[in-house]
Amino acid sequence: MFERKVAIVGYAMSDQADRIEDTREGMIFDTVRAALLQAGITRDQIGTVVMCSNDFYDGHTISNAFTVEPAAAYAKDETKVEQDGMHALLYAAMRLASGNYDVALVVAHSKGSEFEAQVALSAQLDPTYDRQFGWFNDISMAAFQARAFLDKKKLPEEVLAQVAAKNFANARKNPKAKARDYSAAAEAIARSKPLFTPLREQTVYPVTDGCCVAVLAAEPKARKMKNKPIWIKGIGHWQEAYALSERDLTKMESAKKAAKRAYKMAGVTQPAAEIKVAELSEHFAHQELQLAEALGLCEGTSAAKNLEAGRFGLKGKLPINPSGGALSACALGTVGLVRAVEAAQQVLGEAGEHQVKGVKLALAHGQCGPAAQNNVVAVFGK
Amino acid sequence: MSEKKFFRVPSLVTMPCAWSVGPFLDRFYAELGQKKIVGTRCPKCRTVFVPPRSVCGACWKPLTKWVELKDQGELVNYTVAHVDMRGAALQTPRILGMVKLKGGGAKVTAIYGEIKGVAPDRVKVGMKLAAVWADEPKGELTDLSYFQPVSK
Repeated sequence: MFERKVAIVGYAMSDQADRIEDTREGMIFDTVRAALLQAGITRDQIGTVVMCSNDFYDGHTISNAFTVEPAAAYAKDETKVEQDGMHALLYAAMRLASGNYDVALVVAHSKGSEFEAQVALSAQLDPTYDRQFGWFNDISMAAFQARAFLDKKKLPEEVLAQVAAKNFANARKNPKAKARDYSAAAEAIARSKPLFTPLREQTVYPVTDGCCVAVLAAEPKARKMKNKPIWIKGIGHWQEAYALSERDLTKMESAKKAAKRAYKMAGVTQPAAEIKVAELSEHFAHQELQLAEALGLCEGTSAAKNLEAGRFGLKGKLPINPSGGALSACALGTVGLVRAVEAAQQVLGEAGEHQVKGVKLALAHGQCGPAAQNNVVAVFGK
Repeated sequence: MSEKKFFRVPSLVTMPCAWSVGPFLDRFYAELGQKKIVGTRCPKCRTVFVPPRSVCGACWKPLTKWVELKDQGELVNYTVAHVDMRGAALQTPRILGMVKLKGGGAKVTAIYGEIKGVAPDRVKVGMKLAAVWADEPKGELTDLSYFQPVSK
């Protein structure tokens, strides 16, 4: 439980697509400036800055040393996490809850057009054994999880294309998403290029460029800002074993535990009924189904049945990823913060064409590590 | 992708590194050179970790008991690779498996290995497999060349 409540009081995001014309610094500066303008604050009101990126993505060690200026962190308390933007949001919220600062800036960014994503991601694996095989990257690791889940639930591979089809259809209403002009035909997705079975090109995140910024404030300051505060009602974080062979890949135990903590803090006892929209970091199509189950968002026990019944669609009872999710745009390390900002926009009624009606509580999820080893879940509300 | 071309500057260096595998994997690799597969057992939960780990994360116990596994086991998970690690299409798809070896009791962590001798569309979880060893093992990962179905 936080000693002081913390809210999102401003946000901005760049297109989550290829931005070859931009440097990282330019993309960060433009997005941070837009967020401060949107929040109605000046740079001197910011107490602390938490960035999220990854040195391997940036090709640059301690890469935040180089992004201090565009991120408005010059001559301020600033740090960086290398996990996901949701982790940066968690740490920024803790800094505010501590009472040391009133306003925090959370800045997540990466430029997938500048690094070889699967080489950089393979660097998260054990160098002394796993990497020595020369096969393993983020996709082949997740493929084992997909196989375990489909087999356990006796689901055909086509269900993965159905998840992507729903999300691509949603992305057509999201001008920021790379997949805004993708075909949303499940049959075509199911025939997209096979990578590591059962995963295919269109059931795996498309690596993009992108920056996302959230302005956080603690009470009482949060109530005096220009925008209505969207409170972090609850937040939870959990790790599980690194090695796939030491986990039950049919479940997402760490996401389940993270959600349990978030729900307890938020006073949510019936998530499937109380949460009105969920933005999940489904880096791979099967993970959306696994997360829906782990986070208790299903009616009954099968996410696939909920999906088939349209319950997770934009007009369903509990829309999942109305923005199109990570399958529609994925600036690595930025994805979770995009989910948090999307969730806040849903509560504010500012989500534009993909707005869900009457959202009181919205959920956002972020992850990192091979096959979603590490998960953060947050619940947002007025 | 954008059609516009922007000037790019390349990285002038790569980052060479050679990791010490430590005493546990050192023994594991050495035993592979004798066509043996070894792991370590947790004194509390009895899980056998293959390859050997030095600590059980769940029990937070140091692992000191060595176990030799059989070079046969069961396929518990797999993926068929149509691309390589960097995304280039493979001429022939490869089956990458997780194999639970016999000889360590009920709780043994699966080991990675390539599966050969079965078509990608015929591979099944639960298949019985046997290791195929290099003719002249050298104490390296590639000593265990691949797994193939046990002939009946």
